[in-house]
Amino acid sequence: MTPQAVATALRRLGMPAEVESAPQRGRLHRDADTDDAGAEAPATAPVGVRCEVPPAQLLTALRAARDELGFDLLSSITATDEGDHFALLYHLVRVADLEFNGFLLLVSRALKDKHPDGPVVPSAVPVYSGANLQEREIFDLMGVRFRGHPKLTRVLTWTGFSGHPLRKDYEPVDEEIPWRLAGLRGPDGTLLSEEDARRAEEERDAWELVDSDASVAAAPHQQGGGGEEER
Amino acid sequence: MRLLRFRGGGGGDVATAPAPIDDEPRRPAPVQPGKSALVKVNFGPHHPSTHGVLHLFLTLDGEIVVDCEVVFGYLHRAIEKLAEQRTYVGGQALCDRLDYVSAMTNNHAWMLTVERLLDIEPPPRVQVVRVMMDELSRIASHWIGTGVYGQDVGVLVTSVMWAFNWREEILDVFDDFCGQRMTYNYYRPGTVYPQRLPDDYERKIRAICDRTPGRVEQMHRFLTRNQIFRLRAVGVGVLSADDALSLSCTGPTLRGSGVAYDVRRARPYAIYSDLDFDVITRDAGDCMARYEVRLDEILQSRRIVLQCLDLLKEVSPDMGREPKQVKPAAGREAYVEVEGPKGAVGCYMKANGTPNPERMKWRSPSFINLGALPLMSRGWKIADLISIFGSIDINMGEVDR
Repeated sequence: MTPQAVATALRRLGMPAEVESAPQRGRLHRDADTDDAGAEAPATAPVGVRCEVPPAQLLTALRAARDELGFDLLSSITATDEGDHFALLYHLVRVADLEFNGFLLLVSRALKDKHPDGPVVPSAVPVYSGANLQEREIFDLMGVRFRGHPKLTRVLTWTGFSGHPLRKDYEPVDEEIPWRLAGLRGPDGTLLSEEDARRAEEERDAWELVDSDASVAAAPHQQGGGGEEER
Repeated sequence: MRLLRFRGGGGGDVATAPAPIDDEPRRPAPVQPGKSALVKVNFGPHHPSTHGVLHLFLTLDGEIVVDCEVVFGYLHRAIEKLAEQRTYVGGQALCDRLDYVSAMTNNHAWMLTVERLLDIEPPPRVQVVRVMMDELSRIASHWIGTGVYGQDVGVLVTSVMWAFNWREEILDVFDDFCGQRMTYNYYRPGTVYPQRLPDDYERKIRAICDRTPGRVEQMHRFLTRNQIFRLRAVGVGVLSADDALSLSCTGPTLRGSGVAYDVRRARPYAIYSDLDFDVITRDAGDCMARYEVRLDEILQSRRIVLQCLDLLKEVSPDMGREPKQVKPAAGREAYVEVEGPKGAVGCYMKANGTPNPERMKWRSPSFINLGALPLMSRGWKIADLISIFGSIDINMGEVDR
């Protein structure tokens, strides 16, 4: 299937697809007059198809790509922070097709909202189950929520980490990372966010300080000295 | 004193014909949730069989794996974030640290992406050198993949020691070419650095190529035809072609399931469209298939290396020139995949007009292939889980990035 045929089929399905071209490359010039061949302007060749779909139609587009056009491998999902929105790029491949030597690129743009974990887009897991880990990674690092994902939790950072590091407005913590706070649970058993965990730890330290002061004041001198040495 | 004797065919004589190959495949145990008490066990992250710091959260019914949850992130170094603060050339050193067993293919993915952003193409000689380095790197990585897999299923150290010794010769060649043994940082936009090839590289590489078929045969004799090894590998962890595709698996994991998908053939980069090689597949989809694909790919890589050595005598001596300024225009983006030893290694970059990329994304095949582990390991015993896990051949540096 040529890229033109894929683009035509997508347009028939109501999606604005366009063929992408790039300079012809990857050929070995074995001729003696290599300089002449290099001086010519390289011919362009179609390398793939790009198609912008709104998030509402994403699942339909992925289904159409798999079932009607035969794109059986979802190679990669990329999320980029574009300022006012996130762009999700889905690179699809027809495995057995050597004629279509490029990607079908579906681009879906989700506007940012106030929610700290980002906007909601449909998950690709019902169509390509391999999207599971990649979507978890995007949720973790970029902060986009996927509706219908079986288990949308952090995958590369730890549970209880706050923020999404690959966003442009993320401010890296310029201090020692409080590993001891990872996975700290509150009295009701729920995981605490990093701020809450830090506050809980400060409160606990404050209480211990008061207690030890009281014990120093009440205890004989030797014991108090021993306590200071320990500290 | 009683001696244990092997009672094989032929009247109990040990020195008869080689052991018959018993290829009756083993089958996973039926998983019946709710029948008995399930136990949850943390496997790793500090377990010698997990090739690093992988953490498996297992649900066990006795010794049978009912469910397996993969927990990542113990080696996360935020390479994608760091790349946004590095230049296009300097950031390449980061991708060496991803799949550190085969850093050359990582370099290739990175530099192809940068070259796509700049719209430049290196001269043929540079491309031949790059392909030769990639294939030597693939041989080295597959030695590790097969040798260490032997250890995973119970060979003490023999296959590992062989593998590391054989890889060592390839690392010596890399040392001659770029002065590094593991983290090469060898490629540059439009060229490689250093541009001068070492003096006697051809003799050394030909010597490696001469010894490779014998070594593959040695591995076959020691592992492939070993009855115990076959019991641990044949029929274990079967992944069907449909599942493998749906789970986005690539590399030997996908080709072991019978899908002939190789980026070098599907979307040829560098000079691969001019080279003669076969895409190796196996239909069984079990651990043995994935292991055999790797051994056969070593021979195909050797073929490519030999072709590259011949091509280096033909092509013009031009080694290209590095552009003075690597600053792609704002808004340009490129996504390039190359075939790494573990699968398709992809690099996405977006430029913003400064010397640093706006966004870099790495498609790491180990990370995505690991998504197939829960499906493959269901119903097998813990010892078979190690075998299945080893047959995917992952690299934790690449998984956690």
